[in-house]
Formats: sequence, C-alpha cells, structure tokens
Amino acid sequence: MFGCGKFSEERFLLFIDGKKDAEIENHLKECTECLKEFVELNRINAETDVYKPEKIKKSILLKSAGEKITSFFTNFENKRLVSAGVMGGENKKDILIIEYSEFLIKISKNEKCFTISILTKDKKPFNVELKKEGEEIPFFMKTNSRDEISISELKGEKYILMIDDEEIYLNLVQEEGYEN
Amino acid sequence: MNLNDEKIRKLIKNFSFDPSNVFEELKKELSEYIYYFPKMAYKKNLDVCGDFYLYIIERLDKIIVNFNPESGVKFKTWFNYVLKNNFINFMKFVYKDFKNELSIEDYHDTLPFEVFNEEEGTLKDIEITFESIEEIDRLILKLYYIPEFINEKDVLSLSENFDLSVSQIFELQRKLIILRQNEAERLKSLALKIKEINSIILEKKYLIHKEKLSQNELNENIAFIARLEARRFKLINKIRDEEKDIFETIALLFNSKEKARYRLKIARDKFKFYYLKRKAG
Repeated sequence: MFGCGKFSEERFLLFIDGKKDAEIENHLKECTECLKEFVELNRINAETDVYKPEKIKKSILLKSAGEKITSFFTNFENKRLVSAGVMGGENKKDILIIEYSEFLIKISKNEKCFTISILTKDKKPFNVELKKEGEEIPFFMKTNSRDEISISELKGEKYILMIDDEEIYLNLVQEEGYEN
Repeated sequence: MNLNDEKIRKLIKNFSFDPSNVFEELKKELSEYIYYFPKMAYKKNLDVCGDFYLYIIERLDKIIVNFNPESGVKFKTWFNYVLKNNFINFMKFVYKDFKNELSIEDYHDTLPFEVFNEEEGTLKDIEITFESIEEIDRLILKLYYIPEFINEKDVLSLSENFDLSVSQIFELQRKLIILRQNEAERLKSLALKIKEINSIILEKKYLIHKEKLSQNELNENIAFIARLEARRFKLINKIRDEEKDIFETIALLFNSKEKARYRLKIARDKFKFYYLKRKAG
C-alpha cells in the first residue's frame, strides 16, 4: 500500500516516473502521508541515479553454513563459486575464487573456520596484511612473498585484507546454528 | 547506478518457465544494486550493506514475482520502493531505536566548504541554526546546498512561495540532487589535482634548495615551478567559481539571476549571523 492507500501503488509509481496525473497532484497537497513517502522515494531515485559504484572500496561478503557457502557478494568482476575436493574423495568443499589483476583470492570454509589463500599468476613478490575491522595492527602480515599465502582458522568476523595497495573489506558470516 | 530495465523485465517474464536459471541471472543483475542500496539511499556503511544484502537475497524470489513486467512503471522505481520498505523493516528489526531520518552529518562529504565549515563548529550547530532561520531562507539554502533534505513541509511551502506544482518541485529536487553530487565530485577531483601539484612543487623546491644545480638546471626548475603555480592558481579559481549549473537552476525560480543572487546572499548572511550568534552563546 502506498501512503494512505487511496491510489494504487502502480499509479503512484507512474507519477514518480513522470506521468501526469492531476488527481494525484491534488491529493499530494492534502495528504501528508503520501507526500512524505513520495518525497523520500524521489530523493532515493535521484541519489541512486547519480551514485558511482566504481569509486568504492572493494568488498567481499560471504555467508556459510557448515562447509557450504550459502551466499556471497563481491564487487570484483571475475568471481566464481566452485565445489572442489580431493581426487576420489567424497567430501567436496565450496570455494569462492576471485581474480583481480595478477592475483587469485580463494576463500573456503571447513566446519568451524574460514581459510583465505592468495597467490599470484606471475610469481611477482607481493605483500599481504590482515586485520580485524576497527583494529589498527594487523594480526597477519607477510611481505615479498612469491608463493601462495594461506591464512586459516579465521572466525566469522569483519576484516580488512590488504594485498599490496588494495584494501579489501571482508565480511565473513557464519550462519546461525553453526558455531565457530 | 543503473539497472537494465529491458533485460530485467524479460527475465521476470521468463521466471515461471525456468525459475532456477532465471533466478541466478536476476541475482547477477541485481546483486550490486541491492548491496549498495543502504549506502546510496541512506548513507550507511558497508556493514549494514552486507547485512541488508543477505536479508534481501534470501527473500528475492518472493519479492521479484510481485513486479508486473507488463506495467509501465520503471523497474528501478518499483525496486527502490520495495527496497526502501524492506530497508526500514530491516533496520527497525535489527536496531530497535532506528529512526528513518538523515542528518547533515550523513552528507558532510558532499557539502560545500564555505557555509558548512566543520572546523568552525559542529554539524549539530549547523543543523540547529538551519532550523531556526526563516522559512524562505531555509528553503533557498536547502535547495542550493542540500536538496536531499527537502521534506514534505518544504514541498508545500515551495509550491506556495514559487507557484510550482508538486511534480515540478519533485523534478527540481531530483535535478538539484544530481547536480550537487556531480559538483561534489568536481570539487574532489580539483582538490586532488591541487594536492598533486603541491607535492611536485615541494619536490622541486627541495631539489633547488639541497642540490648544487647548474645555472641552466636552476632556470629550468624555476620555470617549471612557475608553470605549476600558474596551473594551481587556475585550479583554485575553478574551485571558487560559482556553482554555475546549480545556480542557474535555482535562478529559474526567481525569473532573474540578479534576484536569485541577491536572495541567496541574504539567506547565506542570515545563516552565518544566526550561526555565529549561537556560537557566541
């Protein structure tokens, strides 16, 4: 129901899109409830129109239940969720793989904790830092590495991952019912 | 941030025929928009974005079937409406004391420097002063500096004071929000360029001061610094430029640029007066 409910949602939304409607125009002058809703939606339409996502921090959000990755979001272009396991073994593990510039980031989950691995395709030396969100000092740091860096035993929390100069916001969520 | 209206409509039309594949496609199209919605619309941080994303993504299949792809409403308008309602419910559920209100602090990144100077006082002082000045001055300042803050009361006052229809005011507000945010981007990029030039000038000055340069090298460096300083001066002037597009849009309300400039000056002066009076206690 839009505002006071006198008009249908569709009619109101068409009016927001620019369709002329004298009845709604007059109604808005008398009904504060509808006008309030209208003003807010108009503002949101304008703000979402002008927002530029490319200027924002890179982020990875990952939610898991047990070993399963139930949902994820990242604004990195190249990402894929795969299911992998040991050859011949029965247990497969979900792994989120993200590629950006020369790096490959892999995030997986065992029953209790998350593991992040970072490697380069061209074997050039790189630096990695990991800290909890809001903390100044990283709890993991490795410089000039050419090999794969693996950080395991990570609990479901919010982190800042630095790979060379790229700062990545990392939100690892453990679904309720599964304890870390 | 845009959504591909045509593609999304087609996907929703096909949703009942091939739900799982179509749903994955829809998720791809909408994920980024959903994730950043709290930031775009309510200036929330990435923590809230992440939590809200998970909240919506679990309900997306049920949400999406409510959109009628044959309707003339733009998908983005409909989706904003749905996300707005869900966001308010979500926030009320998670943060019991949540109030659906934005404050000046939420916009302090996009506010221009001259009037709202944080160093001279707190944003709270600005907010209180804003509410204590005369209505017409407040309306002019809101339109000019923070059109996002136009509320339902302002819409009615604007309609009365400037003889505009409600839809004309909405159009004006939308245009000003877009212009103001573009202006903030312009100022940020100018400030970055100036910072870059400053650091090069500093490097060159250090070189002249510390190194024993030949006369030729010295001349070259001095000439280079002079060129950079001239460039910096031009950029500073660009920052000082009247925000042309915003001003011209506001001037249409007064049917004259002179009158608009005069009214804007009065509103700014009054604001400063009340602000300083408040600060003086």
